[in-house]
Amino acid sequence: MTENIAVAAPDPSSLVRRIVELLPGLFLLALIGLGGKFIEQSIAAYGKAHHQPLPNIEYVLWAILIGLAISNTIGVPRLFRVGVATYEFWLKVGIVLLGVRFLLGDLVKVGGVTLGLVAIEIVGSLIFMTILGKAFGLKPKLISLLAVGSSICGVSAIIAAKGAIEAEDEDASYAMAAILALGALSLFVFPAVGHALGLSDHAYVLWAGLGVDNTAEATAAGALYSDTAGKFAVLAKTMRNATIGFVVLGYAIYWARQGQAGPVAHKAAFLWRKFPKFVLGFLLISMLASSHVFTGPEVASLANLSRWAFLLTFAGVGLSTDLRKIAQQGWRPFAVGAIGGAVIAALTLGLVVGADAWVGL
Amino acid sequence: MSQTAASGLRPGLLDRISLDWWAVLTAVGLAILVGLDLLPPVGW
Repeated sequence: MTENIAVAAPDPSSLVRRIVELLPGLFLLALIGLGGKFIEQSIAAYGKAHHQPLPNIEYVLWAILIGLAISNTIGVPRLFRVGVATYEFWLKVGIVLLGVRFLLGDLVKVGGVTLGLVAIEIVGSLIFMTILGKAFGLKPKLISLLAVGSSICGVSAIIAAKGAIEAEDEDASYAMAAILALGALSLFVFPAVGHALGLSDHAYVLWAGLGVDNTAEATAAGALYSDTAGKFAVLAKTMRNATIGFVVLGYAIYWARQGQAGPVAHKAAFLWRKFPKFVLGFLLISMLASSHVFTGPEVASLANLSRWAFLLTFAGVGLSTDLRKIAQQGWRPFAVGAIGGAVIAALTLGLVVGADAWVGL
Repeated sequence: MSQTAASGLRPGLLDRISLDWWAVLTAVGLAILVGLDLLPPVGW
């Protein structure tokens, strides 16, 4: 989905300057992430010292809350913005490294069930969001963007689809605002519902991977419930992400036939361009781990590096969510997203509970 | 805007490679360092 930009001759001094520009923001991400860990550990230590059973709230939520508090009060100062914006990069690094925690045999075993659920979720979401968007009288291309964002992978899918169907900037902003607001909301709703229903770790994280739209929020929602099982939320979400090219291609062809977007000349090239390449890195690392290229301690180190990358990501999620900007986008796209999100969450919950009872997760 | 630019890295040398590939290269680079014992054990 990335369009490479023609560039001037490499200039080492500008490269160094750009790296230096990243440092304040990276430092802030690390500080907030570590702050979250410190709060989690302090609460646990206090409960232990005073023999009080305090709820274990993962650092993930603290990091996101600190970030949200900063971005929605004083705002993120300009000095930090460049480094903070790298959180999506750390998310992808974390996912690739997470491959070390999946042996290929596990991927085939768990992946079969997950893939089936992902297919049902995507088709169901696309159909439902289209019907809902029409009922609310939204513009057709905005409906397409919301449907793609809800069914696959949030903001990335909307950006990919926007170019392919030649949607307006305003429509993409509406759709992204709705998806981001729902992503923030899901961080609180999903764990609460999961605990209330007494879902097993595996059932919950699969539900989070299927039901939460943005990859960073899905990863956070999984990690909030259980670090051990949280990786399966990433697996389900990564499978959804991998389908992005096919769904966006479908919409591109549809809008081209309507005469409102350019034709797709080379479908295979289009699919490759839209395919999230970090999925290949994830499979490569998983393959290396399955081939016993790494020793036990090395696997542990790589898994920990993945956790550190996610720590930076979660801090960035909070810092990058400006609720005031989201509120400015109007209520209708948000209403469609919220109703659609709730129905899709209920549908995926039913799927996961059914799969758990039928095949066992 | 490219993902790389969106990620805070302005268009330039780094944009020859997409954000996804940078993430893969970084992760694989870290895995090589760990595999060659060039990185001390990482805790959590």
